[in-house]
This record gives sequence, C-alpha cells and structure tokens, in this order.
Amino acid sequence: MLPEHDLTSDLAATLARLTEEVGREHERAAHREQIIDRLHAENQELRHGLLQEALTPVRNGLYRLHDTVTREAARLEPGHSRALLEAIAEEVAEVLARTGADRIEVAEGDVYDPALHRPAGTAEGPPNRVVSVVSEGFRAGERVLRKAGVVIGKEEIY
Amino acid sequence: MAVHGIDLGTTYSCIASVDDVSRPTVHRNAEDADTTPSVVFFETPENVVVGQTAKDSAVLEPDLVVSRVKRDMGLDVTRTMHGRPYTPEEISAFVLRKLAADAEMATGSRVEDVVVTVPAYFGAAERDATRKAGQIAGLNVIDIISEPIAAAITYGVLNPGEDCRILVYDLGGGTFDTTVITLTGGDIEVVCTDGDHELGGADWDDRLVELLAERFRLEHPDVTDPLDDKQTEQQLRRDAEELKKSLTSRTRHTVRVMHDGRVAKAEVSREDFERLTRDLLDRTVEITRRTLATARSKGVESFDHLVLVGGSSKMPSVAEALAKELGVQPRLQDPDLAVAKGAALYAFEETYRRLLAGGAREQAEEMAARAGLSSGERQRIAGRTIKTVASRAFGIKAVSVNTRREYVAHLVQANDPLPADVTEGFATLDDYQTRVAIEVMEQAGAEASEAVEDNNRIAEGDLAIPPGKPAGFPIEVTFTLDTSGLLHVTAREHETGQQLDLNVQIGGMTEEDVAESRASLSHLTVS
Repeated sequence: MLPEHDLTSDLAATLARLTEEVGREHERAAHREQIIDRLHAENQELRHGLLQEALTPVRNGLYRLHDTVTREAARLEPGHSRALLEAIAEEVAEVLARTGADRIEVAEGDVYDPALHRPAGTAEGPPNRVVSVVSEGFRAGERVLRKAGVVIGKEEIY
Repeated sequence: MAVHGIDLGTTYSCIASVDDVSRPTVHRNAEDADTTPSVVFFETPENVVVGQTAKDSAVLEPDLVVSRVKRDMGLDVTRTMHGRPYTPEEISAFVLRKLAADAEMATGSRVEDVVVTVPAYFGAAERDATRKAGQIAGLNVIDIISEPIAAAITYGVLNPGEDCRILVYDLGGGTFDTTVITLTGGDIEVVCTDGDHELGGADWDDRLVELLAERFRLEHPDVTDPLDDKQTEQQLRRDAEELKKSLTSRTRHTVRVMHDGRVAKAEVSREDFERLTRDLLDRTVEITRRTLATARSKGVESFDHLVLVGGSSKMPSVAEALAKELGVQPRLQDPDLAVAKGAALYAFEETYRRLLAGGAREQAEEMAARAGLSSGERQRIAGRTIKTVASRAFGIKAVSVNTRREYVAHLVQANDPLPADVTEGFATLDDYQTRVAIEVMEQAGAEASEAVEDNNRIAEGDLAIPPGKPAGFPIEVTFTLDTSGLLHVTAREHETGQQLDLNVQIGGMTEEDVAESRASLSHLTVS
C-alpha cells in the first residue's frame, strides 16, 4: 500500500493533467466553432451563387451606361452622332449578354406583364399595354435580372 | 419541423431559421433577395401581390397598394380594397404568407411555428395585433419578441452566466430606435427604449440626391432642373444609393450626372458626405444620449456592449461617432439580417425549452441533435429565459370618492416585470348601483400619468352588482399581463360570484374575427 501523501499527490497530478486536457479540448472546440462559422458563411455565399453576386455591381454599372447612352441618343436628331451613341448602347448590351444577361424583348403594344415590366409611369394609350419603353430589361435564362422600365397605357388621363 | 423567425419590418421583412449546424440562415424570397418589401398590392379581389412587384405597381394603381402598414398595427383602422375592408392585421398577414410561402419553396419544408419580432416600444395592442396577423396567415405564433432583443441574441452577447448591459442602436431605412437591455442571472430585460420614427437611411440618400442635383445646376444653370425630370430623378436616387455604399469602403467617388444633353462630374468625398449629413447623425447621437440618461435613472449606470442594427448603421461615420461619443467600440455584423436571425435562434431555443418543459425530452433531444448541439450548448439554452417588462402602465378608470374626480388607477406600471398578476380592491360609488363600468386604460404618452386624457381606453365592459347594495360595495379587479404583453382583465364581486372577463383588443379583432378572416382570406392567392 502506498503512503497516503503519495496517493494525494498522485490524485493532484492526475487532476492537473485532466484540467489541462479539458482546457485544451475547450480550445479545440472553440476553434472548431470558428471553422464551422467560416465554412457556413462560405457555404451560404456559394448557395447564393458567388459568381453571379460578384457580377451584380458590374452589371448595374453597365445597365446605367446602357440607359444613359440610349437616352442621350434619343435626344439627338438622326445623324452620325446619334448613330454612334446607338452603336455604343448596342455594344454595352452585347457585353451584358456575355455576362449571361440577355435583353428582354419588349415592344410598344405588348400586354403589361408585372413579371417582366416595371411600370415607370402611365400615359394616355391602350389600357394595360406598353406605351413606351424607358429602360431595357435583362434576363439570365428564366431568371429576370432587371425588369424593363415601361410606361403603361391608361384610357383617360385627368 | 423547422421553426422560423420573422422580422416583420415597416419597409422590409425577412425570414430565417436555424440550420443543421445550429447557425441561423436567412431564406431568400422568390425574387432571390434576402429581404422582401412589406408592400401589398390588391391586384384583383382574388389575388394579392406582395414584395417588389407590389412596390412597383404603386405607379399604376396607387389606391390598391398598401405600404408601411406596421404603423397602423393596434389601431382600429381599415382600408377598403375591391369593396372589402381590410384590417392592419389582415394586410400584415399577406406579408407573412408571402414570406412563409417563399421560405417553403426555398427549403422544401413547411413553415408553421414562428416567432415574430416587434419594436420594443410596441404596447399590448400592437403585439396582440401582430400575433393575430400571424394567426390569420395560418401560422402558429409561438412568441412575439422585441427587435433589439433578437438582434442581441444574434450578436451572441446574451449568454447565461455573463451578466451584461447592452445598448442597441438600430438605424433602418425609415426608422431609428435605441434600446438598453440587461441580462441579469439569465433574465433578459428591456430597460428603456427611445427613437425617432421619421428618421432613417432614406434621409441620408435624400441629402446626396440634392447634392448631386445642386452640382449639376451650378455647372449648367441654363438647362432644366434634373429633379424635375422623373427619369433623371430616379437615376439620381439609384446613383445616391450606390454612392453611399461606395463611400463605406472608399474615401471618394465620382458620379457623372447626365441630364438634358449635359454632364456634370460630381466628385464626393467621405468628408463631404459626412459634413452634409452631420445633423442627421447628431440627432441619432442625441437620442442615444437621452436613452442612456433614462437608463441611468433606472439604475443602469453604463453598458458593456454596443450593438449596431439596421442597414444604415453600415455607414462608417455611425460607428466612428458612437465610438467617440460613448468610448466603446461598436459591434457590427450583418446588421440588415440580425433581427430575423435572432428571432430564428430564439424560436429554436424556445421550442427546445417548451418541449423539455412539456416532458417531450426525446423530441427535444432529437431537435438539438439535428442542429448538432453539444450537451453543454443544450444546457445553456435550457437555462436561458427572456424576462420582458411591461412597456406601458395599465389601469382602470376610477372616481375619487370625495372630489368625484375621474382618474386612472394603474395596476401595472411601465417596466414591471412580466408576467404580472396584480389584484386591487375597488368599491361602488353610489347606493344601489346596478352595474360598474370597467374601462381598461393604457398609458398613452412617454410618462405614466393619472390624468384620463393621458391614457387610451383599450377595453371596456360592465360588471353587474347585486340589487340593493349601498355605496362602498367591494369589487376586485385583476390584471394579468403575459410575457408577450397581452392583457387579461377580470373584475368580480364575491357575494354572488359575478365575474367580468376582458381581453385587450384595440384593433377590434376578436378571436372569432381572426378565425373568420383566416378562413375567408385563405381563398385568396398571394404571390
């Protein structure tokens, strides 16, 4: 039989070792939690289409450029400058198409479709039909990226 | 069965749930956005549209589009669409149905049990109306919690065993709120709340739009005003929003304002922007200071954490100004979604606790296991409770015997811990009274006051008195206020045991109304 003081010191040593181990386990668990947090965040981003999200600001800039150039072209009398601006707008639409954003075909007289059209205003004209297109819309496959801005006809305007 | 948390906001709403690694996850809507505009369009008598399309439709049918219905919650107002009057509860129910339907589509599992958040200043009527909106939407509302508490849960600063005081600064798109919360011995309590409901990120955008227009006017005084043209104005709004975002990461940014065939290059630095909006930020700091003063008067001398909520709190000037004013480094993470995520975490925890309390240990453990919770985490969750306080004082209208002056006798005071169960004795005023009118009153202003005009009547009823009783016949009134802030009032006389039971219903919707509207609106499609 071991002397009593040895038993106590053994117990103390074991306890110290266990405490240390538990402490280490705690640290590792905390570390794992951090990793899970990170992986979770990454997973969320991937789920939401990281690449598509990265393209969003680029596309927004191109939409704006397309809108502005189209608007300015429309202000000019037919001629070289107008043709040039229209060509630039076409180029921008093509760059957008290369990012996967295709133009939504909208024409005057189309029936208003809230899934494709964002009403920008109303004007006298055939009710519930597109009277004019103020900004083009774009889609990636079935997904509408930006609705076309349209003016919708109303029978009477007071 | 997943439980969900819903941030039912004034301008935008959001839904989240806890996933298989016990992290809260926001579910995107059918339009692929994290948040859904809280806008409802009554397209036809049978079809209701909610979200971005509804918002867009305001141009075409302004009279059929409802936004900001949260401001009407708890009020007895209706809006008539296609000949049918709709209560605020019913209109909010459409928003909830859209959130639930889109989340179901995204996850493939049914949305049934939910926790919905409300501002901390919402009183009993508004909370009750919010709960009823959930019921009309066909959801099982397991609880209603305050937005700042939900946000604090997301930030992970509410840990049992670590007493702390938290200041929540919430700058949204159109509203601003500050709240002080304490965690003592595992109990979460809202100490005080303040704010400005007409101040929000949109005001910052307005300033930028005006700045861009002004730069253009200075350079081209000979052409039309850019703000007079609807298309240019819309473009400037989008540019201002982009500019604001850009200035959170960059120190300067250039916007080319194009209008009427002219262009003005407007270079805006972060300092310009901050100078331009300094007074707006100062207003939020001033309100924050006032909130802290109120907290001090209630014995909360300082705070340990400063938590930023709301998309507009991402502006670097917000954190800087607060750090300078308060000497504490603010915490900022995912401020737009923090409330919905906190609601999801709370919904999850509360369900676990209720299963345990109801003896369904097996089910509770299965739920915890699915979320990958360790036994330590399970114990922590089981021990956490939210202690809410009454947001306002409640009482009944009484008449003083000597002066015959009418006043409000408050049975429950603002900041009394909930649940509260208070009984007080009253007596008849005149000989041979046959009835006593019980008028339940709720404090209307910021401070509780005895004056009748400073209180709103929220319920009333008659208690019959046995015949032939002299003045001074005793009656007893009991107020029971639960943790969601729902009020039940009982008045009784002991001689014959006559009893009057009242449930607070400011919005006028009874349980039968709720059941009926749930049935009648379920035929409408919501998209």
